[in-house]
Amino acid sequence: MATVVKSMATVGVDGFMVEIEASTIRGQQQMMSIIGLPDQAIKEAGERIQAALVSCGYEMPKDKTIISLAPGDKKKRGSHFDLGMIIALLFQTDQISPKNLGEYAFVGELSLDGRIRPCNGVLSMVTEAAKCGVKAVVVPFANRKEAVTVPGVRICPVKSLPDTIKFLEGRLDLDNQDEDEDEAMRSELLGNQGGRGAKDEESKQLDFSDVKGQDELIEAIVLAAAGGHNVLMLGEPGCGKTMIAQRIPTILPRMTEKEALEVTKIHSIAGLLENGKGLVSYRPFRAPHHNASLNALIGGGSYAQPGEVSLAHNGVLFLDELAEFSKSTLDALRQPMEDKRVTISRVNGTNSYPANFMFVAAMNPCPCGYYPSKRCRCTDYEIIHYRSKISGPILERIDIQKSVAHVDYFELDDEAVSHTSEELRERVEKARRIQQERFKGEADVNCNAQMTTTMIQKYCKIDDESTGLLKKASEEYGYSARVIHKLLRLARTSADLDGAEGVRKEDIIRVLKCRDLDVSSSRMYTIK
Amino acid sequence: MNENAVKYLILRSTPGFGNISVNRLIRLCGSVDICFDADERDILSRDVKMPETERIGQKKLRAFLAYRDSDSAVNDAKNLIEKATSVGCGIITIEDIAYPKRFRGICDMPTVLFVRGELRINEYERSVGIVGARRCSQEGKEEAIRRAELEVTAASAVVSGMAKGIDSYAHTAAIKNGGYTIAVLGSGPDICYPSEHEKLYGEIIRSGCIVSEYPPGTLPRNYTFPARNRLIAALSDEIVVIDAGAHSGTESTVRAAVKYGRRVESI
Repeated sequence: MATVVKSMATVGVDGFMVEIEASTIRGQQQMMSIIGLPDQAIKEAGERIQAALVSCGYEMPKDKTIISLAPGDKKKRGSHFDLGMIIALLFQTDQISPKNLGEYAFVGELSLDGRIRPCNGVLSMVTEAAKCGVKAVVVPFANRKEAVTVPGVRICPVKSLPDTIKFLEGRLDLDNQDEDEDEAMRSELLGNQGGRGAKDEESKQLDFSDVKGQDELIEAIVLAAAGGHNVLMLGEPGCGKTMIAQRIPTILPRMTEKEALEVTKIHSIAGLLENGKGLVSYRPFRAPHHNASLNALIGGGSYAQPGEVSLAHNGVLFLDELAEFSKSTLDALRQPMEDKRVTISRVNGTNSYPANFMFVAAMNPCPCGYYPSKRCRCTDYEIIHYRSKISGPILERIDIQKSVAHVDYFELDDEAVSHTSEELRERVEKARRIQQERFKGEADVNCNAQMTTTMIQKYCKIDDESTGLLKKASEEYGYSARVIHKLLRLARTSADLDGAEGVRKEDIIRVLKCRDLDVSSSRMYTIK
Repeated sequence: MNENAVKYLILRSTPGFGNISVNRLIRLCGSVDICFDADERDILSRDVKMPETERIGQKKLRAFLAYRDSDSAVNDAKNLIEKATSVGCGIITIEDIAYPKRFRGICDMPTVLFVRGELRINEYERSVGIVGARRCSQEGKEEAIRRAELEVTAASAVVSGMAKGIDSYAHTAAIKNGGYTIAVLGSGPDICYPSEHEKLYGEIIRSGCIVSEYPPGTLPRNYTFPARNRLIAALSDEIVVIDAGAHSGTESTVRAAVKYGRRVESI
């Protein structure tokens, strides 16, 4: 008779159930074989299991052992099957006597001395386990906070193999476990150094009140955050583009639990979740270097792992030095920006990841970076050439192009208190509530930036005076109908920010100031 | 294209022959036909009769004679014509009506020009070269534009080198105001350098003219630009220099302009 123990695996952001079957065959040479399309990490589990068995005082079976991961036709990877495998093996060889083994699913990597190490994707696996009707999931102690966020399933965090066995035999109560000493020490250490462990606290400290002398730009950022519009910032080196971008997540509306779960799942699968941390509570901010490959940005690798666009899901994707990104990389962003989702196909499977992010980019206005100051000696042709590195389709998707004002350190008035993130977020949340009310009946449309042409006609009616203003600007800068639509969407957001019923003249004036790149490019003295 | 184009092309690609030698040889023989018809003794003896400073030299002449009679000379010239035609380049020789009158009487002017667009410089009573810094100031840019506009209004041709900065603004202003502009390149006329001037280059071909003494496919080199500058000077009746620093490339334009007796105005 073979023993069956449940475990879980991941594919994309979702989990699926794996049944670990262990069987021993008498009269054959002692060996262990693991089958069921395992990857290298799973194959090596055999060695970990043997070592853990010996160090915990159990015996390796003297017969041939077969461990099968069912379903046998699905590829599996990761080291988290160790725990399930060793339990199955011990039960098969009658070395332990657990109660109700069928009620549990096991996730966890073994260390050679029998401790249980944390692993990736626990949230997805536990979610799926709950869906499959598993009553309890045994997870590594370090992953417990992530796992307990799933309702409807009992979480049994374990620190070591002996603990697990004692628990299964009813000799240990898992509720009274101490915080791991070395883990506590480590998180404290990281906290003091402001390292990655302190990321959440760090993002708490970021605040728009640190940004001085950029009131106009901040106003544009609020507009963008309120309507889900994408932003391009133009400015000379060192004027605060990156500083502002980092603070955008602090004014976006707080994440709902559903959003937080989605973000946590992706981060858990990518292995970016801090051990001992629960749900990701802050909107992610991802700033890939311009050297990033297409696969790093979109997702890929032999197992179709999530890329930056998915890691920035429900948060901000910030591309600094936009003009330095390779054209093919940027163009690949078009589809996720449109569909809010990416599908990655690889030999080892096709995965679909959510990618609903706010796109924020920054670039210099010219090759030397200092246009339009006296210091800049770039020719107009060079500037146009430089700007044309960003393809039209990407620029089309950016509603707000704002130049960042030059900041003179010595003229900064420390007394003048700028807006705090808290104030700005309140305004953004208010505007978002109005939009949610407006688009209640519409599928796929949550914010003004996603309005279709018909909706624009319905919600963005403007008076003759405003039409005149738009027409004048359009003639001066050669705006296409598409740009006019963008401006109308923005104007709607601007009205929502003030809680106004219709789009007013001042909204049009406000949004016309948000096209700095067009204005600046139209002033270039070149043959077009 | 003139039927003698092949002969001029052979002359310009003779090993050891530059523009000065080519011009001397034609003067020595009286016409390009005689250069190719006369026998060795005749040509060598003519050279000896010339004053010492005007001579080409026996060794170089023998090199010419050898090249003239080789099969490859005619083939190369014909291939070049074919290549030029395929990339849309015209060939203008000293015998053509379109050949700039302003070049005549200058000993180091090329006898063959490669052009794209229409060379109509002879129709203009006045032509002005506007040259200057590549890294120019905002004032320099405005001055170049203002000056080019002024010259277009005065029905002058605007000549420059399609370099970054002042040159490009001069061309752009001339085109935008409906004027005629000539860009003299330091590369073959089929190569757009710098590349960001692609659109300007196209527009110059459409409404003006690209001129080069280098055959199509020639890449720009550091030594081709001073040579190009002298053609700008020779094509212009007056040279306007904007924003140029000492030891800049523009200096060679000015030096050539002074040598050819052109008026130079510096801003």
